[in-house]
Amino acid sequence: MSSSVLAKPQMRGLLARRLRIHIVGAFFVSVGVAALYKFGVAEPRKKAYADFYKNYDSMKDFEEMRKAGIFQSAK
Amino acid sequence: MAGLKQALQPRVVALRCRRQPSSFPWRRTAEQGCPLFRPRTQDPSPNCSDLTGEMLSRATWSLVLRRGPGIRGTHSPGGAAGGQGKMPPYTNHCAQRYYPMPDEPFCTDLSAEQRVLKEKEKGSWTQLSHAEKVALYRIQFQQTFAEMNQSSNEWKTVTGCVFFFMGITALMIWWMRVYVFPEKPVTLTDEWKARQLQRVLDMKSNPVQGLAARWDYARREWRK
Repeated sequence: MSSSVLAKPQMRGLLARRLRIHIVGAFFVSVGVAALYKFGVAEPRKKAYADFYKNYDSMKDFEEMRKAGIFQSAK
Repeated sequence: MAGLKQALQPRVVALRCRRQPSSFPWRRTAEQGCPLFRPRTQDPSPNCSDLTGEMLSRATWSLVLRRGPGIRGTHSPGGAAGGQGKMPPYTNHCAQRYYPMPDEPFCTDLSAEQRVLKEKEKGSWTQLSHAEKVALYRIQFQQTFAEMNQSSNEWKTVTGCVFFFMGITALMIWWMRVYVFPEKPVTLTDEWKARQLQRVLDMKSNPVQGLAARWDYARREWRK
């Protein structure tokens, strides 16, 4: 064991420092996750639905299904 | 030197409060060591396989030992006479990371020169040489913090055994598949599943982002 004196470690405020770091970190992580979800999942989904229904003909869709024979009430 | 004294000081105060049991068969000297553990007087070796053996022997001890915490009843840490009447592993001289200040000293049966050293310890600690302080530490504690916190290679054994038994299970299930399982129901045959998929596509289920969206109705094939 050496005979030099070690530097005195940080004795106080440990919990406060930890909380500060983790509150800031948690804020940024949650905002980041929310932004990623919005722009990765929610916006593409809204666009997909909008594109699908832009030129959607429901009667044509129905005729195709009827010809395929899946209905019991409309043959 | 000053750091060493500060580290040792609160522990030695705890020692002075306790009386030394002298007539128990599991008393330890520094040479014999604990029935389960050897005192480490040399530097801790990087090869930790002997620690694995100790951990396994400790586990087997706790399996073998079916009697309760001992004559004293409930196993409560602390207390001046806490370690008496107990067999290992309920004796409290071994420190853990979560219990770093054990209740009892490691060596309870001191040789003559160790007793002399203990008398010298009652005086001023500046008189103690470095070797004497280390000897006092080794009387009180089985391991240094570095030795106590050593990690072991036990995880390799554990993961190996887990995968091994998963493999045995897989072989057993394979055998069952060949010799035990009955025929598939008709709804799981390939022909039925193809007709079922065709019906789902005719119904245009999930046409926006799901299954029917992946099927190209004009070309009658899956979209690339």
